[in-house]
Amino acid sequence: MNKKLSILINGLIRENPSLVLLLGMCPTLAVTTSVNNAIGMGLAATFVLIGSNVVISLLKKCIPDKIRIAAYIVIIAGFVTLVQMLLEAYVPALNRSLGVFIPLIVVNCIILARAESFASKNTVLDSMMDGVGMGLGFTASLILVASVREILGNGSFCGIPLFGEGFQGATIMILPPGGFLTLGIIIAVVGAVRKAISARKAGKKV
Amino acid sequence: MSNSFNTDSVKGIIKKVGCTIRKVVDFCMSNSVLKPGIVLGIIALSVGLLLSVANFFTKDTIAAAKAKEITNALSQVLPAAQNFEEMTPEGVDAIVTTLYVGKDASGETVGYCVQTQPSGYGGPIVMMVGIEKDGSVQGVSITESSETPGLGALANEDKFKKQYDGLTGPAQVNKDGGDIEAISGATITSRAVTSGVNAALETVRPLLEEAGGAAGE
Repeated sequence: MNKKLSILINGLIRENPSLVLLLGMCPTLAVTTSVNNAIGMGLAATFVLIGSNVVISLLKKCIPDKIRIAAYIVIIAGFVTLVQMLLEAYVPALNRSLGVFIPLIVVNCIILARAESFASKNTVLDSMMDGVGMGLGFTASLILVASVREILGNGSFCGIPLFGEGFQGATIMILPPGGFLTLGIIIAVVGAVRKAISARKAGKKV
Repeated sequence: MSNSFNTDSVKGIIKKVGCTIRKVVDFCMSNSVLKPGIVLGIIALSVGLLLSVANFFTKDTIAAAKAKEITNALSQVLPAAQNFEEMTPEGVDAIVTTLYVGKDASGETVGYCVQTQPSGYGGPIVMMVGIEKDGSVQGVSITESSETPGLGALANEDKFKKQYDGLTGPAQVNKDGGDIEAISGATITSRAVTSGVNAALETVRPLLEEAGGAAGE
Protein backbone atom coordinates (compact mmCIF):
# COMPACT_ATOMS: atom_id res chain seq x y z
CA MET A 1 0.00 0.00 0.00
CA ASN A 2 2.84 2.31 0.85
CA LYS A 3 4.42 1.72 -2.51
CA LYS A 4 1.17 2.56 -4.29
CA LEU A 5 0.91 5.80 -2.38
CA SER A 6 4.48 6.73 -3.16
CA ILE A 7 3.84 6.13 -6.88
CA LEU A 8 0.89 8.50 -6.63
CA ILE A 9 2.88 11.17 -4.79
CA ASN A 10 5.71 10.70 -7.25
CA GLY A 11 3.56 11.88 -10.15
CA LEU A 12 1.90 14.62 -8.17
CA ILE A 13 4.98 16.23 -6.69
CA ARG A 14 8.38 14.64 -6.97
CA GLU A 15 8.20 14.02 -10.72
CA ASN A 16 5.42 16.43 -11.58
CA PRO A 17 5.19 16.07 -15.38
CA SER A 18 5.02 19.72 -16.41
CA LEU A 19 6.93 21.46 -13.63
CA VAL A 20 9.71 18.96 -12.94
CA LEU A 21 9.96 16.59 -15.91
CA LEU A 22 9.06 19.47 -18.27
CA LEU A 23 6.88 17.25 -20.41
CA GLY A 24 3.69 18.32 -22.17
CA MET A 25 4.70 21.96 -22.46
CA CYS A 26 2.53 22.61 -25.49
CA PRO A 27 -0.86 22.18 -23.80
CA THR A 28 0.53 23.76 -20.62
CA LEU A 29 1.18 26.96 -22.54
CA ALA A 30 -1.75 26.83 -24.90
CA VAL A 31 -4.87 25.93 -22.94
CA THR A 32 -4.07 27.72 -19.68
CA THR A 33 -5.91 30.90 -20.66
CA SER A 34 -8.70 29.99 -18.27
CA VAL A 35 -9.03 27.71 -15.26
CA ASN A 36 -12.00 25.90 -16.82
CA ASN A 37 -9.93 24.97 -19.85
CA ALA A 38 -7.10 23.81 -17.61
CA ILE A 39 -9.37 21.52 -15.60
CA GLY A 40 -10.95 20.09 -18.75
CA MET A 41 -7.63 19.49 -20.45
CA GLY A 42 -6.08 18.02 -17.30
CA LEU A 43 -8.92 15.58 -16.72
CA ALA A 44 -9.04 14.53 -20.37
CA ALA A 45 -5.30 13.84 -20.31
CA THR A 46 -5.64 12.01 -16.97
CA PHE A 47 -8.31 9.73 -18.41
CA VAL A 48 -6.16 8.92 -21.43
CA LEU A 49 -3.11 8.41 -19.24
CA ILE A 50 -4.85 5.98 -16.88
CA GLY A 51 -6.45 4.07 -19.76
CA SER A 52 -3.31 3.76 -21.84
CA ASN A 53 -1.14 2.89 -18.82
CA VAL A 54 -3.50 0.07 -17.80
CA VAL A 55 -3.90 -1.38 -21.29
CA ILE A 56 -0.21 -1.14 -22.09
CA SER A 57 0.86 -2.82 -18.86
CA LEU A 58 -1.74 -5.55 -19.54
CA LEU A 59 -0.34 -6.13 -23.01
CA LYS A 60 3.33 -5.63 -22.15
CA LYS A 61 4.14 -9.32 -22.71
CA CYS A 62 2.26 -9.57 -26.02
CA ILE A 63 3.70 -6.49 -27.70
CA PRO A 64 6.94 -7.27 -29.55
CA ASP A 65 9.72 -4.83 -28.74
CA LYS A 66 10.14 -3.69 -32.35
CA ILE A 67 6.67 -2.29 -32.73
CA ARG A 68 6.05 -1.10 -29.19
CA ILE A 69 5.95 2.61 -30.04
CA ALA A 70 3.51 2.03 -32.88
CA ALA A 71 1.34 -0.15 -30.65
CA TYR A 72 1.40 2.47 -27.86
CA ILE A 73 0.38 5.21 -30.27
CA VAL A 74 -2.54 3.16 -31.59
CA ILE A 75 -3.78 2.49 -28.06
CA ILE A 76 -3.32 6.12 -26.97
CA ALA A 77 -5.01 7.41 -30.13
CA GLY A 78 -7.93 5.09 -29.43
CA PHE A 79 -8.41 6.53 -25.96
CA VAL A 80 -8.07 10.11 -27.22
CA THR A 81 -10.71 9.54 -29.89
CA LEU A 82 -12.97 8.09 -27.23
CA VAL A 83 -12.44 11.17 -25.02
CA GLN A 84 -13.20 13.45 -27.92
CA MET A 85 -16.44 11.63 -28.71
CA LEU A 86 -17.52 11.83 -25.07
CA LEU A 87 -16.63 15.53 -24.80
CA GLU A 88 -18.44 16.30 -28.03
CA ALA A 89 -21.52 14.46 -26.81
CA TYR A 90 -21.73 15.68 -23.22
CA VAL A 91 -19.69 18.90 -22.86
CA PRO A 92 -19.63 20.46 -26.35
CA ALA A 93 -18.70 23.91 -24.98
CA LEU A 94 -15.52 22.57 -23.37
CA ASN A 95 -14.72 20.59 -26.50
CA ARG A 96 -14.94 23.80 -28.52
CA SER A 97 -12.74 25.83 -26.23
CA LEU A 98 -10.05 23.13 -26.08
CA GLY A 99 -10.27 22.71 -29.83
CA VAL A 100 -7.32 21.07 -31.50
CA PHE A 101 -5.57 20.35 -28.19
CA ILE A 102 -7.77 17.33 -27.51
CA PRO A 103 -6.62 15.38 -30.59
CA LEU A 104 -3.10 16.58 -29.81
CA ILE A 105 -3.14 14.59 -26.54
CA VAL A 106 -2.08 11.69 -28.77
CA VAL A 107 1.35 13.22 -29.17
CA ASN A 108 1.55 14.56 -25.62
CA CYS A 109 4.92 13.31 -24.48
CA ILE A 110 3.73 12.70 -20.90
CA ILE A 111 1.54 9.84 -22.03
CA LEU A 112 4.07 8.18 -24.29
CA ALA A 113 6.82 8.71 -21.72
CA ARG A 114 4.80 7.01 -18.98
CA ALA A 115 3.91 4.14 -21.32
CA GLU A 116 7.53 3.61 -22.27
CA SER A 117 9.23 4.21 -18.93
CA PHE A 118 6.61 2.97 -16.47
CA ALA A 119 3.64 0.98 -17.80
CA SER A 120 5.74 -1.34 -19.96
CA LYS A 121 7.76 -2.42 -16.90
CA ASN A 122 5.30 -2.44 -14.01
CA THR A 123 2.17 -4.22 -12.89
CA VAL A 124 -1.29 -3.15 -13.93
CA LEU A 125 -2.21 -1.68 -10.55
CA ASP A 126 1.05 0.24 -10.21
CA SER A 127 0.63 1.57 -13.74
CA MET A 128 -2.87 2.72 -12.91
CA MET A 129 -1.61 4.55 -9.81
CA ASP A 130 1.12 6.11 -11.92
CA GLY A 131 -1.52 7.26 -14.41
CA VAL A 132 -3.62 8.79 -11.64
CA GLY A 133 -0.62 10.51 -10.03
CA MET A 134 0.87 11.84 -13.24
CA GLY A 135 -2.54 12.90 -14.55
CA LEU A 136 -3.45 14.77 -11.38
CA GLY A 137 0.03 16.29 -11.25
CA PHE A 138 -0.44 17.54 -14.80
CA THR A 139 -3.93 18.85 -13.97
CA ALA A 140 -2.67 20.61 -10.84
CA SER A 141 0.12 22.38 -12.67
CA LEU A 142 -2.23 23.40 -15.49
CA ILE A 143 -4.63 24.85 -12.90
CA LEU A 144 -1.76 26.68 -11.21
CA VAL A 145 -0.58 28.31 -14.44
CA ALA A 146 -4.14 29.04 -15.55
CA SER A 147 -5.11 30.63 -12.21
CA VAL A 148 -2.25 33.12 -12.44
CA ARG A 149 -3.05 33.94 -16.05
CA GLU A 150 -6.80 34.19 -15.63
CA ILE A 151 -6.68 36.26 -12.45
CA LEU A 152 -4.09 38.73 -13.76
CA GLY A 153 -5.25 38.77 -17.35
CA ASN A 154 -8.99 38.63 -17.04
CA GLY A 155 -9.67 39.40 -13.38
CA SER A 156 -11.66 36.22 -12.93
CA PHE A 157 -11.34 32.69 -11.60
CA CYS A 158 -13.23 29.84 -13.29
CA GLY A 159 -15.11 32.54 -15.19
CA ILE A 160 -16.31 34.26 -11.99
CA PRO A 161 -15.23 37.92 -11.94
CA LEU A 162 -13.16 38.74 -8.85
CA PHE A 163 -12.57 42.46 -8.96
CA GLY A 164 -15.84 43.94 -10.20
CA GLU A 165 -16.72 45.82 -13.38
CA GLY A 166 -13.94 48.38 -13.51
CA PHE A 167 -11.04 45.94 -13.53
CA GLN A 168 -8.98 46.02 -16.69
CA GLY A 169 -6.93 42.84 -16.96
CA ALA A 170 -3.40 42.74 -18.30
CA THR A 171 -4.17 41.22 -21.69
CA ILE A 172 -0.56 40.10 -22.11
CA MET A 173 -1.16 37.44 -19.44
CA ILE A 174 -3.86 35.80 -21.57
CA LEU A 175 -1.75 36.02 -24.73
CA PRO A 176 1.08 33.53 -25.42
CA PRO A 177 3.82 35.72 -23.83
CA GLY A 178 1.91 35.59 -20.54
CA GLY A 179 1.96 31.81 -20.75
CA PHE A 180 5.73 31.73 -21.14
CA LEU A 181 6.26 34.27 -18.36
CA THR A 182 4.00 32.48 -15.89
CA LEU A 183 5.32 29.01 -16.65
CA GLY A 184 8.94 30.20 -16.50
CA ILE A 185 8.49 31.87 -13.12
CA ILE A 186 6.60 28.90 -11.65
CA ILE A 187 9.24 26.42 -12.87
CA ALA A 188 11.97 28.64 -11.41
CA VAL A 189 10.23 28.73 -8.02
CA VAL A 190 9.63 24.96 -8.05
CA GLY A 191 13.29 24.42 -9.00
CA ALA A 192 14.50 26.63 -6.15
CA VAL A 193 12.29 24.83 -3.64
CA ARG A 194 13.50 21.45 -4.84
CA LYS A 195 17.08 22.58 -4.55
CA ALA A 196 16.53 23.87 -1.02
CA ILE A 197 14.87 20.61 0.02
CA SER A 198 17.60 18.42 -1.38
CA ALA A 199 20.27 20.65 0.20
CA ARG A 200 18.59 20.30 3.59
CA LYS A 201 18.36 16.52 3.16
CA ALA A 202 22.03 16.31 2.20
CA GLY A 203 22.92 18.48 5.19
CA LYS A 204 21.03 16.16 7.53
CA LYS A 205 22.81 13.11 6.19
CA VAL A 206 26.22 14.66 6.76
CA MET B 1 -21.88 -48.29 -38.02
CA SER B 2 -21.71 -45.78 -40.83
CA ASN B 3 -22.47 -43.14 -38.24
CA SER B 4 -19.39 -43.87 -36.18
CA PHE B 5 -17.31 -44.02 -39.35
CA ASN B 6 -18.59 -40.59 -40.26
CA THR B 7 -17.76 -39.04 -36.90
CA ASP B 8 -14.30 -40.52 -37.07
CA SER B 9 -13.62 -39.06 -40.47
CA VAL B 10 -15.02 -35.69 -39.38
CA LYS B 11 -12.83 -35.81 -36.32
CA GLY B 12 -9.87 -36.61 -38.52
CA ILE B 13 -10.55 -33.67 -40.79
CA ILE B 14 -10.96 -31.33 -37.84
CA LYS B 15 -7.71 -32.60 -36.41
CA LYS B 16 -5.93 -32.06 -39.72
CA VAL B 17 -7.33 -28.55 -40.12
CA GLY B 18 -6.42 -27.80 -36.52
CA CYS B 19 -2.89 -29.01 -37.12
CA THR B 20 -2.51 -26.90 -40.23
CA ILE B 21 -3.83 -23.77 -38.46
CA ARG B 22 -1.47 -24.41 -35.61
CA LYS B 23 1.45 -24.81 -37.97
CA VAL B 24 0.59 -21.57 -39.74
CA VAL B 25 0.21 -19.72 -36.41
CA ASP B 26 3.46 -21.21 -35.14
CA PHE B 27 5.22 -20.19 -38.32
CA CYS B 28 3.84 -16.64 -38.21
CA MET B 29 4.61 -16.20 -34.54
CA SER B 30 8.17 -17.44 -34.88
CA ASN B 31 8.76 -15.26 -37.92
CA SER B 32 10.38 -12.04 -36.78
CA VAL B 33 8.86 -10.03 -39.62
CA LEU B 34 5.32 -11.38 -39.58
CA LYS B 35 4.75 -11.46 -35.84
CA PRO B 36 5.03 -7.73 -35.10
CA GLY B 37 2.82 -6.97 -38.08
CA ILE B 38 0.16 -9.42 -36.98
CA VAL B 39 0.21 -8.21 -33.37
CA LEU B 40 -0.03 -4.59 -34.46
CA GLY B 41 -2.83 -5.53 -36.84
CA ILE B 42 -4.77 -7.21 -34.06
CA ILE B 43 -4.29 -4.22 -31.73
CA ALA B 44 -5.36 -1.75 -34.42
CA LEU B 45 -8.35 -3.90 -35.31
CA SER B 46 -9.56 -4.18 -31.74
CA VAL B 47 -9.08 -0.46 -31.10
CA GLY B 48 -11.02 0.27 -34.28
CA LEU B 49 -13.76 -2.10 -33.24
CA LEU B 50 -14.07 -0.52 -29.79
CA LEU B 51 -14.18 2.96 -31.30
CA SER B 52 -16.92 1.98 -33.71
CA VAL B 53 -18.94 0.74 -30.73
CA ALA B 54 -18.29 4.04 -28.91
CA ASN B 55 -19.27 5.96 -32.02
CA PHE B 56 -22.51 4.00 -32.27
CA PHE B 57 -23.43 4.97 -28.72
CA THR B 58 -22.40 8.64 -28.86
CA LYS B 59 -23.35 9.72 -32.38
CA ASP B 60 -26.99 10.45 -31.56
CA THR B 61 -26.06 12.47 -28.48
CA ILE B 62 -23.48 14.41 -30.48
CA ALA B 63 -26.00 15.20 -33.20
CA ALA B 64 -28.56 16.24 -30.58
CA ALA B 65 -26.00 18.47 -28.81
CA LYS B 66 -25.13 20.16 -32.10
CA ALA B 67 -28.77 20.69 -33.01
CA LYS B 68 -29.46 22.11 -29.55
CA GLU B 69 -26.58 24.53 -29.91
CA ILE B 70 -28.02 25.85 -33.17
CA THR B 71 -31.52 26.11 -31.67
CA ASN B 72 -30.10 28.00 -28.70
CA ALA B 73 -28.29 30.45 -30.95
CA LEU B 74 -31.41 30.87 -33.08
CA SER B 75 -33.74 31.65 -30.20
CA GLN B 76 -31.12 33.95 -28.71
CA VAL B 77 -30.88 36.16 -31.78
CA LEU B 78 -34.60 36.03 -32.61
CA PRO B 79 -36.50 35.49 -29.35
CA ALA B 80 -39.88 36.29 -30.91
CA ALA B 81 -39.83 33.15 -33.03
CA GLN B 82 -40.91 29.73 -31.77
CA ASN B 83 -40.06 27.53 -34.72
CA PHE B 84 -37.30 27.77 -37.23
CA GLU B 85 -37.30 26.39 -40.75
CA GLU B 86 -34.17 25.99 -42.77
CA MET B 87 -34.18 27.30 -46.31
CA THR B 88 -31.64 27.55 -49.09
CA PRO B 89 -30.42 31.07 -49.67
CA GLU B 90 -30.08 32.11 -53.32
CA GLY B 91 -27.45 34.25 -54.97
CA VAL B 92 -25.81 35.35 -51.74
CA ASP B 93 -22.37 36.09 -50.43
CA ALA B 94 -20.15 33.04 -50.07
CA ILE B 95 -19.80 33.62 -46.32
CA VAL B 96 -23.52 32.94 -45.79
CA THR B 97 -23.91 29.29 -44.83
CA THR B 98 -27.50 28.75 -43.75
CA LEU B 99 -30.73 30.72 -43.68
CA TYR B 100 -33.56 30.08 -41.23
CA VAL B 101 -37.07 31.48 -41.25
CA GLY B 102 -38.36 32.21 -37.76
CA LYS B 103 -42.08 31.67 -37.22
CA ASP B 104 -44.18 32.30 -34.14
CA ALA B 105 -46.66 29.88 -32.59
CA SER B 106 -49.35 30.66 -35.17
CA GLY B 107 -47.00 30.02 -38.08
CA GLU B 108 -46.57 33.69 -38.97
CA THR B 109 -43.09 34.67 -40.16
CA VAL B 110 -41.53 37.00 -37.58
CA GLY B 111 -38.03 37.24 -38.96
CA TYR B 112 -35.00 35.51 -40.36
CA CYS B 113 -31.79 34.12 -38.95
CA VAL B 114 -28.71 33.95 -41.08
CA GLN B 115 -25.64 31.94 -40.23
CA THR B 116 -22.54 33.54 -41.69
CA GLN B 117 -18.92 32.56 -41.55
CA PRO B 118 -16.60 35.52 -42.08
CA SER B 119 -12.84 35.08 -41.66
CA GLY B 120 -11.55 36.50 -38.41
CA TYR B 121 -8.04 36.78 -37.07
CA GLY B 122 -7.69 33.17 -35.95
CA GLY B 123 -9.90 31.43 -38.51
CA PRO B 124 -13.55 31.44 -39.52
CA ILE B 125 -16.04 33.01 -37.10
CA VAL B 126 -19.33 31.14 -37.19
CA MET B 127 -22.07 33.55 -36.18
CA MET B 128 -25.83 33.81 -36.19
CA VAL B 129 -27.60 37.05 -37.03
CA GLY B 130 -31.29 37.49 -36.24
CA ILE B 131 -33.20 39.96 -38.42
CA GLU B 132 -36.75 41.00 -37.71
CA LYS B 133 -39.56 41.37 -40.24
CA ASP B 134 -38.97 45.11 -40.43
CA GLY B 135 -35.41 44.49 -41.60
CA SER B 136 -33.59 45.48 -38.40
CA VAL B 137 -30.97 43.38 -36.68
CA GLN B 138 -32.42 41.81 -33.56
CA GLY B 139 -29.38 40.04 -32.20
CA VAL B 140 -25.95 38.66 -33.03
CA SER B 141 -24.40 35.56 -31.52
CA ILE B 142 -21.01 34.04 -32.19
CA THR B 143 -21.26 30.28 -31.96
CA GLU B 144 -17.78 29.22 -32.94
CA SER B 145 -14.53 31.12 -33.26
CA SER B 146 -10.86 30.81 -32.56
CA GLU B 147 -10.17 34.48 -31.88
CA THR B 148 -7.56 35.56 -29.36
CA PRO B 149 -8.86 35.24 -25.81
CA GLY B 150 -9.04 38.65 -24.15
CA LEU B 151 -9.03 40.49 -27.47
CA GLY B 152 -10.96 39.12 -30.43
CA ALA B 153 -12.94 36.75 -28.25
CA LEU B 154 -14.52 39.83 -26.61
CA ALA B 155 -16.62 40.12 -29.77
CA ASN B 156 -19.10 37.75 -28.15
CA GLU B 157 -19.61 40.19 -25.24
CA ASP B 158 -22.81 42.21 -25.14
CA LYS B 159 -20.86 45.46 -25.07
CA PHE B 160 -19.71 44.84 -28.62
CA LYS B 161 -22.60 42.79 -30.00
CA LYS B 162 -25.34 45.17 -28.89
CA GLN B 163 -23.97 47.80 -31.28
CA TYR B 164 -25.53 45.91 -34.16
CA ASP B 165 -29.01 45.81 -32.70
CA GLY B 166 -31.50 47.82 -34.69
CA LEU B 167 -29.26 48.19 -37.72
CA THR B 168 -31.07 48.12 -41.04
CA GLY B 169 -28.33 48.93 -43.51
CA PRO B 170 -24.69 48.01 -43.99
CA ALA B 171 -22.41 49.01 -41.12
CA GLN B 172 -18.71 49.76 -40.83
CA VAL B 173 -16.29 49.90 -37.96
CA ASN B 174 -15.17 53.33 -36.77
CA LYS B 175 -11.70 52.87 -38.27
CA ASP B 176 -13.33 52.63 -41.70
CA GLY B 177 -15.57 55.62 -41.01
CA GLY B 178 -18.57 53.75 -39.64
CA ASP B 179 -20.43 53.76 -36.32
CA ILE B 180 -19.40 50.38 -34.94
CA GLU B 181 -16.82 50.92 -32.25
CA ALA B 182 -14.16 48.28 -32.91
CA ILE B 183 -12.71 46.31 -30.01
CA SER B 184 -9.34 47.88 -29.27
CA GLY B 185 -6.61 45.55 -30.44
CA ALA B 186 -9.02 43.45 -32.46
CA THR B 187 -9.92 45.47 -35.54
CA ILE B 188 -9.73 42.42 -37.79
CA THR B 189 -12.25 40.55 -35.67
CA SER B 190 -14.52 43.60 -35.47
CA ARG B 191 -14.40 44.02 -39.25
CA ALA B 192 -15.15 40.32 -39.74
CA VAL B 193 -18.19 40.36 -37.48
CA THR B 194 -19.41 43.53 -39.17
CA SER B 195 -19.05 41.94 -42.59
CA GLY B 196 -20.98 38.93 -41.30
CA VAL B 197 -23.84 41.17 -40.20
CA ASN B 198 -23.77 43.04 -43.51
CA ALA B 199 -23.91 39.80 -45.48
CA ALA B 200 -26.86 38.67 -43.38
CA LEU B 201 -28.75 41.91 -44.04
CA GLU B 202 -27.96 41.58 -47.73
CA THR B 203 -29.32 38.02 -47.78
CA VAL B 204 -32.56 38.88 -46.07
CA ARG B 205 -33.38 42.10 -47.96
CA PRO B 206 -34.81 40.45 -51.13
CA LEU B 207 -36.91 38.13 -48.97
CA LEU B 208 -38.34 41.06 -47.03
CA GLU B 209 -39.07 42.99 -50.23
CA GLU B 210 -40.88 39.98 -51.61
CA ALA B 211 -42.95 39.58 -48.47
CA GLY B 212 -43.60 43.32 -48.25
CA GLY B 213 -44.67 43.41 -51.91
CA ALA B 214 -47.02 40.47 -51.45
CA ALA B 215 -48.61 42.16 -48.45
CA GLY B 216 -49.03 45.40 -50.34
CA GLU B 217 -50.89 43.82 -53.27
